[in-house]
Amino acid sequence: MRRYIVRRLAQALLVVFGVSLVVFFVIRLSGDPTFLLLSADATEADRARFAHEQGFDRPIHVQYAAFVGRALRGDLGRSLRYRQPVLPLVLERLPATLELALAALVVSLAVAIPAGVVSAVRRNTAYDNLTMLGALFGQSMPVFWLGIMMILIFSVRFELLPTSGRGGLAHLVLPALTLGLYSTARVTRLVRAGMLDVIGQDYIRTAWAKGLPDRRVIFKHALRNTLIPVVTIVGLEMGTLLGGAVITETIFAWPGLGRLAVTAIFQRDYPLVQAVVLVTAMVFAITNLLVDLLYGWLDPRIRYT
Amino acid sequence: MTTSRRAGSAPLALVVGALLSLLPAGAAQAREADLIISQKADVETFDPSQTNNTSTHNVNINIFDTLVRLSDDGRSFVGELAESWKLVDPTTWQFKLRRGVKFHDGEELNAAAVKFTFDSTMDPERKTRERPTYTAFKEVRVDDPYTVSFITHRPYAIALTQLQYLMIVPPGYVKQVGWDEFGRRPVGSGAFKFKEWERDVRVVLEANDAYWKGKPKLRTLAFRPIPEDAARIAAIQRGEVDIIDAVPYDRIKELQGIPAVRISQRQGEQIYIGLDTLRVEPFKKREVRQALNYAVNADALVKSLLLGYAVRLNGPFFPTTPGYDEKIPAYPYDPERARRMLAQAGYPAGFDVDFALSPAFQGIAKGAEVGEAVAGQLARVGGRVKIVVQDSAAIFSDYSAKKLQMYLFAWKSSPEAGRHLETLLHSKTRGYYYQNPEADRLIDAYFAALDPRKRREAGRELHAFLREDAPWIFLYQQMDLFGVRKNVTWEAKPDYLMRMRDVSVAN
Amino acid sequence: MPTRAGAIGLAIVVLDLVVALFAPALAPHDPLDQDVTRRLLPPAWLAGGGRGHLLGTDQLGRDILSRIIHGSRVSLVIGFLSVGVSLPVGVALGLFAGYWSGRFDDVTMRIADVQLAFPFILLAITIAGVLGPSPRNVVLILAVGGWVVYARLARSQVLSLREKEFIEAARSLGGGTGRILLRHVLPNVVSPIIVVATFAVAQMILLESSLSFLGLGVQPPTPSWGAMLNDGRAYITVAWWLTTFPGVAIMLTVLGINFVGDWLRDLLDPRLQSV
Repeated sequence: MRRYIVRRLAQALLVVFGVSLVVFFVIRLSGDPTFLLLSADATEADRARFAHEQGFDRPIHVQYAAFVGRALRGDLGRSLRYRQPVLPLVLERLPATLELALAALVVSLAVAIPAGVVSAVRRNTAYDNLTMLGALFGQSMPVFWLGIMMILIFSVRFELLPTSGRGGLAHLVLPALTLGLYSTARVTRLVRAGMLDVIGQDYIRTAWAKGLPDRRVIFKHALRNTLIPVVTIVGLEMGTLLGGAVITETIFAWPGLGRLAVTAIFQRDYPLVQAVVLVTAMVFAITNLLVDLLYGWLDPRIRYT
Repeated sequence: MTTSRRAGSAPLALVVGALLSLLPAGAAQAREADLIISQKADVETFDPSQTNNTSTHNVNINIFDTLVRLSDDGRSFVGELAESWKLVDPTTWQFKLRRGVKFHDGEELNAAAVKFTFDSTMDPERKTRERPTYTAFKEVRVDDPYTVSFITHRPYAIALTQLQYLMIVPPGYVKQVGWDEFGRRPVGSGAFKFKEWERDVRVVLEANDAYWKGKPKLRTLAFRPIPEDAARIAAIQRGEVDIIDAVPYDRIKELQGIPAVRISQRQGEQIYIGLDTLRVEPFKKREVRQALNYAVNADALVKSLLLGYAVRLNGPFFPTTPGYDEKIPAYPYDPERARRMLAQAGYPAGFDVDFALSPAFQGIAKGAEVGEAVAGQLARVGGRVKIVVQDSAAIFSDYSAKKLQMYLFAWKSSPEAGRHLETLLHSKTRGYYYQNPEADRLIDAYFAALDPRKRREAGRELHAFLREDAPWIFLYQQMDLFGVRKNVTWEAKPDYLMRMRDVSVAN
Repeated sequence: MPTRAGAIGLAIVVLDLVVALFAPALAPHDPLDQDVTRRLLPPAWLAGGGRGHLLGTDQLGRDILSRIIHGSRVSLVIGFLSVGVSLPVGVALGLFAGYWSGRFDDVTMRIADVQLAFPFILLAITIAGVLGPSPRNVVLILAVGGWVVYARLARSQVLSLREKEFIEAARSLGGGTGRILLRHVLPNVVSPIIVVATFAVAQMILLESSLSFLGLGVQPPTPSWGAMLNDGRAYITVAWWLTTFPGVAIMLTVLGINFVGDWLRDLLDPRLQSV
């Protein structure tokens, strides 16, 4: 097992390296930053000079080699727009991003798992149908619409919560609910489907036949096995929640990585994009490793060599 | 026996625990300042030379001072750090500085500081974003500790216009902490001192009681960036913030219906459609370009799309630009005439062209809708335009690579100067899509005319010429709208800057 | 044979397809016909409602009902096609990765990781920047973004099934990999995959809205549900019908697909039939 973990960590590093390579080349394909980064009055000569000073006119593999060299020394470069070193810029956003992502995850799991289980157990009842309809609403609702509605209802109309921004717990509620809704819907359906699958299987029926009480049968066997696809999805959701929560972050003025990345991409701020992607990739690779380890714990039959 | 319960709850407990440990202690519900301004964007940096972004300028103008400022009617200049100035010779602008002005760290603000600011902005090693703004200036000379001269390459009528954004920085402090740190924790001479900055969350400034113009009425001033329109409006409705920018026109009625809020407006960017007159066949002909101007119903756009919050333009001049001739009519909407002119020019069956637009470009209001509306109008006379939506960087990149055939642009320019004419239409500065030696000559003459009367004459000639030559489809100048709570005494000013030093909040 | 829900779902999906196919005949107006002076008219049954515009007009005076009808073409094609491309590819890769383990598994999953770690938006901007924005490229972008979920799901199921007795039995009986995967593993994998796939169609249609927001989706003035959602964002408080009706169209479509998906799953899953 230990060898597996070590191997996976090494691979995680490889992944990060791969990501850096792809990001480096890809973003340079997508447009010229000089115009956006210089004053609107800049002339052709100004732009050419700026490009030369930044090294954009050197061959791309030379640029990449220089980048790797500096990165290994902990220097990921300076943001072209903010003129500050990028790594601190990214790291200072990490707590906010993690806070929102985890809050959304907690909310969604806390609601989805019980809802899905009960739904499966009470299959085809009114409860089940209502839950499924609700899940449907949740996963086809546009995030921006939900977010704005939340603000209009809970903030403006009923004056219960602040409209936006990051602060205390009160500021976290609306964004977490908005961001978490899609996950909630998705996981509810998965839990329900997984439970239904398992309930019909042989070993469950064997357990029934053996006479163990209902509830323990359901929770002990079924839930565990249901959790495998759920854990998979959760692992993937973390990736989305971390880097893709742009819309929620924009609506609630949440200082997260998603917004930082998108703004940087639109401004062709190469070093910043690289840094965000690298940090996100690392967190993501580690999350995936944890997910795979969790598989092993949930289902002892899964063996890793 | 209890494994199943543990399987569910252990990870959950871990997660909740992690979450709780991340929560900042205490809820920051109380207002952090006497006056809170919410802009769409956050400040980029506190180093004034490294940014040309209006949202950032609005923050920095409260921390720093400039030599001169545009008057409230937008037609002349008022001294700030400069008590007086005169034109010693056609290329030398000499300023006499106010005495006794100090930076927040106690340093003295004198001619050396001004020279330092200019030199460091123009320093090729630093690659500042503001550098191109001052290319007309050759050098800055210190005549005596409180007299400084700005020397231009050639006679330059709008020297003051360009200098109104030059914010003076403290040489001593900068040399001590370095530019990086200065960009994070600035020291200026302005009405407010820097207190704290959490990126994308808030900027907090506190009053500078030693300010040369007198103590500001506000004790503390904060900026809270909220990018989403709906959230920003909700914030002012709830009283969480006091001033907001970029109010969408469709929500004005709503805001006006709120007793505690009023609207303040000022003229904003010029919106026009650029045409590639050099490479795209139909656009090489003046008749075609004029025809397109007749084909677009800009008045309908202003009235119905922009709800009247725009000023129709009859050419590339703003109404406040010297030389603007209001007697010249704006191109009327005449699709019949447009069709005839196109046919006469050799395009009876119309033509096909790509139309690039970037909906969020430089604060353009309703860019996508205006673009689509214009496309529809042009299609009616045979101008089959294919809309290509791009993001700002992509459109800029294509613009400088001369790839655009037709594009919707927004351009901000100090209202009394017409600098954009030099930047956009002169073949030496840009010349990407329009090169006309006659236009060049007129533009040069316009900017070299130091005498105001001569300037207006040159302007009228230039304006008439450009209207005829129609390098663009002329549209309108849009209004920038702000939401302000009624107990705040601020009004929008024509120089695009939000100075808060004279503002007070009644209770 | 179909359950009541399944029948409803089928009816909705068929309705969608019919509308998409016969859009020009069904739409009361030209979806591109703009009239700036008649913009933001409310639906016909409300005060100020435009006669002849059942669902009102949009920000450029175009009939919303007609745009929804025509938009169904684009949105449905994008939704179904992107899933139709990414699902088989993803499932196949996931099955093989889980079954063979070792090198192939590692490589595939790391490529998946690299891609997942890559911000979707950057991927979208690049593909669109290089290939140009068009509905076909939107499908490509969404497909490239979507295969990983199916791969990981399939793989996780295979991992838990691999050690099961009947697999070993099949193997010992000399069954080839392909055969084993197809006949024994795949049916067990089907269930969660179908659930995810039905979600994915909806997600793709909504993602199309995000792409429109970036200017990478369907180019104006072509209508699509996603683009209409995005256009209406600025008018939520002023003209709710701009977002609501496309949203309802999406929701109904998703409902229909889900019901059909449930029915299919019940049909295909051998184990459930005996319960």
